[in-house]
Amino acid sequence: MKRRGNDVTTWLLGLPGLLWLLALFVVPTLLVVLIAFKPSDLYGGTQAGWTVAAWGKLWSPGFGRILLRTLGLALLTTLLCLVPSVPCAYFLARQPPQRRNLWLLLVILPFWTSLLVRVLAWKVLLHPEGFFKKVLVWLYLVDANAVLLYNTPTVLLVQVYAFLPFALLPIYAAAEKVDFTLMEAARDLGAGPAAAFFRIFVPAVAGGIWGAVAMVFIPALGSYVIPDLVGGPSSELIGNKIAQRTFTDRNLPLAAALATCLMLAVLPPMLLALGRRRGNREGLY
Amino acid sequence: MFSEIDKSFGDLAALTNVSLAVKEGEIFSLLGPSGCGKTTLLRLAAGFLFPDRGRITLGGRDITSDPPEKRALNTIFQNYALFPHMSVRQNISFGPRTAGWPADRIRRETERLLALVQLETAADKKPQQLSGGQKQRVALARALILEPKVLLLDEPFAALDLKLRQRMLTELERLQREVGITFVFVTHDQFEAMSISDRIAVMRGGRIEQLGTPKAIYETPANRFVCSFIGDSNLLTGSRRGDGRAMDVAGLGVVVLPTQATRDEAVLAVRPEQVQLSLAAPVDGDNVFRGCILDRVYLGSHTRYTVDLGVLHLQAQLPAGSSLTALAVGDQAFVHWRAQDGTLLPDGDGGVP
Repeated sequence: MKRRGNDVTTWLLGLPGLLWLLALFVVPTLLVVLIAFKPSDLYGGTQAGWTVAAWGKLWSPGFGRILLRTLGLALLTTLLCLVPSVPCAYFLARQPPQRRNLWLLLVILPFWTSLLVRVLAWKVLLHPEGFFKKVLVWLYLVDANAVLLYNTPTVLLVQVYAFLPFALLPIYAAAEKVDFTLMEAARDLGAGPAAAFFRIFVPAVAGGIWGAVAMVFIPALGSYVIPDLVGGPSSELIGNKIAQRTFTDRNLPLAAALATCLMLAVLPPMLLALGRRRGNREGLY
Repeated sequence: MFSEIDKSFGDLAALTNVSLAVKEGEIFSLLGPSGCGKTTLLRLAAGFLFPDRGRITLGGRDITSDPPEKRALNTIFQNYALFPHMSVRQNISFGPRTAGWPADRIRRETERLLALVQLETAADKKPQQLSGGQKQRVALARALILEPKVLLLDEPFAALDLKLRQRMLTELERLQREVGITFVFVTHDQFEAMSISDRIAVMRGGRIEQLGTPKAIYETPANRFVCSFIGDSNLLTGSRRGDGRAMDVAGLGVVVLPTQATRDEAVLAVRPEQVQLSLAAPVDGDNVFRGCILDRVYLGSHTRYTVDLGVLHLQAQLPAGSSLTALAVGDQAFVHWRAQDGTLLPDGDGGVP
């Protein structure tokens, strides 16, 4: 009886969140999928009836390449965000509390400026006459004629810059809870500092790392502003294609089909990872 | 093992000129109230801290600047610090795996240690699934598998309940006899230290107040601090009389001393169990005083009385079954103790906490 009462309360408490998800996530997602099966009209809307015409257009040779590039770039962005974030989270967690807050403030500081402004700032820095470019030329690190903008590596650089805090924060949240006597125990049992870091600290923040992967990989897949601003025609991602189909071509069904494709590419691995983690957690208790 | 160690944290001096030699194969305890520096000393030994001054040696080798992984000693942490993402077996084999032992030796030794601490059936469990006593046994096995010269134990029983604590103490003593490793204990619990140790160092304020066997520390405490920290004591302060075999205690009278006082101010310690109670004035007895029972606490195996002697209170303890246990609060009684049962403290140093 008691359990049942608890269940009802749980449902009631969860209800606002569930309704929110239903109205603003599930229904729009289904709409996107439905629109992908509609014929387009000349004015950017959809016509009555059903068709798979949009899906047929996906088989253009360029699309596969863009899908692969998007996946590759998102993976690379995630990896490059994780590599500095894990040691950085370790460093932060070992700071005395007052100083830790100062460091955290520095991490969050960029959020006070709009992402758009920050990406445009990169454009200024990397501009042929920009500060960054000039410094690099002066240091003989790049050729004076080198182009630092409108290519894929630049998109990667700016994406890593933009998503780094999203990787750091979940890992830091996990690192803060780590019992550092575990590190001492590892050292005591003969592990050097590096071995203790990789064998004890990294597994201890695994949850945070998975969180960081989700926080970076998914937005990176749908990234649109960054490649649009600092990328060139050779570094277009699915996000750009979807925007072009929507705003330029006014072909909503094709845009919807692309979006569905992207979703299908992300969803299964994410669900798999989630299931695996839940399985692990149950194993603990 | 330690010589002339200084260690401070900022302005706070945690240890001041501590020298200490632990003998091979003994159970040694660092005993003291919190903040006395005992844990700092242990962490210095383990290599988690480094001294500002002084040397630490292990079996004749200077290990002062060695990192923890290079030291042939292992630690049992207060919270056990078991690796949560590894099974019991993986926890125990962590050290050997890190050291790169051959696989069959790792397997053999891990099974041997699992058997030693009687955890064969829990080998594949995660630490979260274990009870407090089991966790501690895993921590023991994990530390012992590397066959350290010294095992450091930081308040290993703090998280266990009384019954389990006593069982683990016995078990630990058995293990120590079996493996023959030197054990260095840190504890604030005098009973733990007394029951298990070959020798005890009583610490306060970053210094060692007294070092000796449990018997020596209990029966001949070096000063007031040690005397009141180890067990209960009646402390009487007075001025030396004549040849020094007695002292005047203000408001009480003449107290006969067990030994000759060498200074004008003398402090005598009498354990409650040495103080006798009687209804009639005893025929003989060096120190007989009349008082009124102020408080009576029944403790099962014995009963503790507080006797009001006018200017001061005296604790007396009677074993269960004593004919005097009918004494009630408000009754008049005589207290007395034999002169040789008291202990004249060598110095007046050490304010009672």
